[in-house]
Amino acid sequence: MVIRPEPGEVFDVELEEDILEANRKLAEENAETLRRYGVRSFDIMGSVGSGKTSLIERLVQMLKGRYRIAAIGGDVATTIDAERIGRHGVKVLQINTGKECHLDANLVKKALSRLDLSSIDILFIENVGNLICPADFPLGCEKRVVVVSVSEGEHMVVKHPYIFAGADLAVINKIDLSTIMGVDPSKIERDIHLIKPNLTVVRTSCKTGEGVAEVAKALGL
Amino acid sequence: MHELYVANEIVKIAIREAEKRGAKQVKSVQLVVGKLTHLSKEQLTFCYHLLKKDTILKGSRLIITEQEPKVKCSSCSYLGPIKRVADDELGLWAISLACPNCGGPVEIKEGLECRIKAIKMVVE
Repeated sequence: MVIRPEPGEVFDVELEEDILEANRKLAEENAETLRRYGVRSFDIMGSVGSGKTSLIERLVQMLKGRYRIAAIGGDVATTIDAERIGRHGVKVLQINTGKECHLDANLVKKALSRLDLSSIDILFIENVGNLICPADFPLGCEKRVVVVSVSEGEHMVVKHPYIFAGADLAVINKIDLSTIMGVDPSKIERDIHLIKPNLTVVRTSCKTGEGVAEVAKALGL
Repeated sequence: MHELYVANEIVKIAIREAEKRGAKQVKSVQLVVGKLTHLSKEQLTFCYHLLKKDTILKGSRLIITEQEPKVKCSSCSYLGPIKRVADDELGLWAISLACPNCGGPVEIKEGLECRIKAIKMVVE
């Protein structure tokens, strides 16, 4: 039996509909699609200038002989990063979000439909340079990676705990600059472990290539 | 930072539910927002009131309840509030996914939601 309200009556509709959950469900669908095609996928997050593109370029250089790689680049505007990655001879799709400060599962779903997933082993997704919004929007990747560089100062981690809480790997980049910057990577690493004790942390210099092999290893590649 | 998007979704859902029931007015929308999201209560309210103009939601209130984070530990079965750690130097407080009880890794059970709990409407 359905009880209907009388005219003029105030009616309480219980809903339990989650807005962020809608994105998480789409992310789960993306994950399923990628699993079905056997594509290993990695969401690379970090501030503007932390070295996300450089890390992807280094990984592509190192792995392109063994795997078929594609990348999706997310930026508010321009195709600069996509062109940088594309120069290494891999398929790159650029998503320009226009006004959005993060990629979401729906944008990635659209991008996936334009890639021939059966001819890809590894997919790198470079998120929009931002340590805040991407935390609320998983994309459906196998692993979420946060890149933080010593040039951002030593307090970036405690200022942005949620993105580290949701990460599967943290990369401390530009360690070749730590002396010049006066920033101790150990302090950054300590903060990361304060927030997420079991998170794997790798120190890199994407300029010299130091530590990149360890990143690949931590990603299981 | 994505409150406008979220507020727009809330408005769409509330209008959909009101129309479905032939409501003539919506009194309030109750929202639960987890404290582990980056959603700001003030910005959500601001965007909601911008978007509700000229819709059935005009004159409605957005009531936001914040949800405290709750975590579960798989090693010692702790279920309760998340651990918070202090950075003494900066006077900052950050969350920690270490179990407050045994130090092991925990899983977030509550605190990531942005859920419309109920909509109060007047039916014709």
